[in-house]
Amino acid sequence: MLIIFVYLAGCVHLSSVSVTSIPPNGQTIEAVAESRYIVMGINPDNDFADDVVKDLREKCPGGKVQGILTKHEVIVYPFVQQHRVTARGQCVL
Amino acid sequence: MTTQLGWAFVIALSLSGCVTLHHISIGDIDNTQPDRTRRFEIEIEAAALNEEEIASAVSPWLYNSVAFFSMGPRTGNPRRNDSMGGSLLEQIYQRCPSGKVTGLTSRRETNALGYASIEVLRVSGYCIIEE
Repeated sequence: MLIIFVYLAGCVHLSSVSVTSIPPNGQTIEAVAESRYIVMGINPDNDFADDVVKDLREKCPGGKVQGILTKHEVIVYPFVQQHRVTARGQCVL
Repeated sequence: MTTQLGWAFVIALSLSGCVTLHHISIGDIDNTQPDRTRRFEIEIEAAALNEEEIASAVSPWLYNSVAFFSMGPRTGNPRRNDSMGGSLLEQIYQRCPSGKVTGLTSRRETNALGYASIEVLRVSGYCIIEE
């Protein structure tokens, strides 16, 4: 039972991280995440990641999003990988 | 009929490729003038070979030689020159002559095609258009 639980929980690999310059004051934006499940390694594109910028823009209407922390993680399940891009930042109005 | 469908499925899978995302970074976003922005995308591609796979198919000695001279961290398959992405700044200025670029997102990808691959650098962003 424990083995099955550990197996299905998946192993998380941190692929890349980047941070932009942090503003002195700003309102923290809740993290936005986009992900895709890839079965048997077949993946035609990575366009799902483009939606992260759109989400950040929607969270900060009329302002500037700075101090953006971007993470790309790969969560490995049996035969399936979940690629997840997460971003959060500071909204300066 | 079933065989033909099977082959069509295999061909479709092969052509769709296996695009691996290695790295992504997102730059600061200026959303103060959303109605004056235009999205652009630049894609730089370069062909590469999976030299270790090819060498291992030839002989173990060749594989060891290739592996010895290409050891170390890597993203995708190695190439023999470092010109990829050198013209990126010029291309961004071409797409956005005002130079006011925001939400710049860069992605490093590999499209694996058996023994070969296409190494991809994809940059997208929003250009703030001057009046």
